[in-house]
Amino acid sequence: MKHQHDFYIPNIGNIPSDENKLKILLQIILSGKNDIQFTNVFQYKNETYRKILNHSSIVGILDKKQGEYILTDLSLGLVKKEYTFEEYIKRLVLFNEHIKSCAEIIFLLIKIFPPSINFKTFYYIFAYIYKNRIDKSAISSTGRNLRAIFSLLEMAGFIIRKNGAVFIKKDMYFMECDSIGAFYGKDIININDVRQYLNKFFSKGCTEKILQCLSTYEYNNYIWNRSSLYKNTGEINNLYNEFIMTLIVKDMVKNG
Amino acid sequence: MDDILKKLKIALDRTVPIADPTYIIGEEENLGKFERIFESLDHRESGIIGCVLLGQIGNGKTHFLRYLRRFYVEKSAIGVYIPDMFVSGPIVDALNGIYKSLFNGPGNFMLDKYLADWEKWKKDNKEVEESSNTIIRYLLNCNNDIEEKLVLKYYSGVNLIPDEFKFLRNKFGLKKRLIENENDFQQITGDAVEFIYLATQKNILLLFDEVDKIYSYDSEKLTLSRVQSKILSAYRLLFDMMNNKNIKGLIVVGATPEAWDILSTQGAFERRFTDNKIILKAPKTVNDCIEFIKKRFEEISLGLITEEVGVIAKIIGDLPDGKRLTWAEIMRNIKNSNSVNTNTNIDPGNEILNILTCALGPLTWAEIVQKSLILRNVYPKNQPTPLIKKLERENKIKIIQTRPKSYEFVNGDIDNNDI
Repeated sequence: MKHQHDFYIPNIGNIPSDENKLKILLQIILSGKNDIQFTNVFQYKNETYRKILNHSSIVGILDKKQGEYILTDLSLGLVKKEYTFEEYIKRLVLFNEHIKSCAEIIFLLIKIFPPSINFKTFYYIFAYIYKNRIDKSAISSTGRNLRAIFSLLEMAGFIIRKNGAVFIKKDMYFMECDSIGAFYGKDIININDVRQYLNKFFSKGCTEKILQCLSTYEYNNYIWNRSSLYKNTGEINNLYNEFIMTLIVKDMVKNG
Repeated sequence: MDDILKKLKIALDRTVPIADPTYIIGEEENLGKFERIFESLDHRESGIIGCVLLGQIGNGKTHFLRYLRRFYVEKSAIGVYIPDMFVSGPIVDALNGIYKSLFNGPGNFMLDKYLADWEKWKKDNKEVEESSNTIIRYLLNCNNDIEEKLVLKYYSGVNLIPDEFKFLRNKFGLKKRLIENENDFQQITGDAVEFIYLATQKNILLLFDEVDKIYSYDSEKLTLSRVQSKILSAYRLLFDMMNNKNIKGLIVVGATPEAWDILSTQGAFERRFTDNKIILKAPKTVNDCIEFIKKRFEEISLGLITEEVGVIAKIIGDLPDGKRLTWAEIMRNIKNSNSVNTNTNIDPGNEILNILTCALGPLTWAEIVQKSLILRNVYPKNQPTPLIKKLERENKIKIIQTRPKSYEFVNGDIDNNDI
């Protein structure tokens, strides 16, 4: 079950965002070449480069020993071609408990509410649950770090990002679960039932905030219907201060 | 600019359709789906198909239902719009109210409208002398068209004058109150619909609205009250009867998902509708909104020039997707939007410079932010160090290393050597 602390995202916003950049970074550190070379290649400023190195060491791409950055054993393994790039990223994700936890949550939410969840929804969920804030600055910093995690997962071929949303490409087999529509076998679901299902995977406080964010920003594949009449029977109060009573799964209606 | 906003407020003032609408926005896919359901009637000998139209309040259910009636009347169907599926009050009053609305609901006609069609049917079916249909049986026993008209008026729920009613009571034994119980409701409604079907030879569309009334405002739980349960079983019996009478038609129920959730607990009712669900589009696209507003302007005979369309497009474009879920919401948000201005384009850097220019001495970040709501909104936590450093690099401000740091405007025009 996921709790508030599981929604912590480490400060890794500046890790290399694709395979090419990552491999170049590894080569540069391995060869012990000057910082400036890397800076010139990508036009980064020194401060940014420092962050790249720092964040990469948090993730496990690099290590810092006696003030110098070196490759971790894992990264050395990649360079020596002991495993594929995909395997490497997978291990990076799984060996870091915080990143693994975030990845589990990402997969869980997309599996329960397929086929995709918008970036914005994820930023709000993570910021709201961990930081208990959804102001612009909280969303901005959460987004920066979450995008780094998306990059890792995308590099490893597990997700793809399209049209402002995250789709699962290949399962990471953290947990088997039905989509909300499949679990209840219907396309029009009372919000209390949705809550009950989510409570199997998330603590009550987390579930409530997840529902608040989903019902505000997830309108591509779902319709979160406002209550005609507020009767205090378990409605969600979304981030626009509206009361949501029923969920419609659009896809099922189309196909069914 | 303000002029267009005024016009918008007028155009968007109406909430429910006055007449059956001639247009509908953004529901092409759903209309196609409905068309397929309607066409499937041709492949059946007879029978009633159920279809449920779902959308939250303000999404356009009433508009869709009444549009269907206008559209399908042209395609040879008779549409009866029942504005309130679950009239409140004691059961007998409710059933009578529902029955009467078949004829006095918006856009509905009384049974005597079909008198000419009935005369034709009589000519073509001279051999028919008896009928299980009460209305037809009485009509066949009328001596002239004045009597027929009276019977049809009675069965349209009209309040007859005493003489008229006396005649009907004497000849046919009719009671003052049409419907006394659920059985009467099922039988008389079935007869009325069958009469229309036989006389016109057209498919029947029964369009039920306002299914929100499924729950009362007083009850603690979202369940059917006793009266509503009874009304629901009356409907179920009615639908069955219409199937037995070989009437071809569609029953369309417009409901909120919440109300449908409750109705679906009555399996016997719900299962007639479950395969034919139409969900109204949500959210509406920006194009949908623009088309909608254009139509509303047409309704009040106001033209729109190109620049005004541009302004409207900007107002709508500024609404996030999540605020375009229903028409009611869109109209409310547009009416509430203040004049389109460049608030969103304020440059925080310029804002900081403006504040420092007007200050007598250096200001800390807390002091700067106190003077500007815009900066407070953009930077709710800490000062924007990169922006401040940039302003310093450009020689626009000076950073003074006090604790906390303070900032001073640098006037580049003053030649310091002149002091």
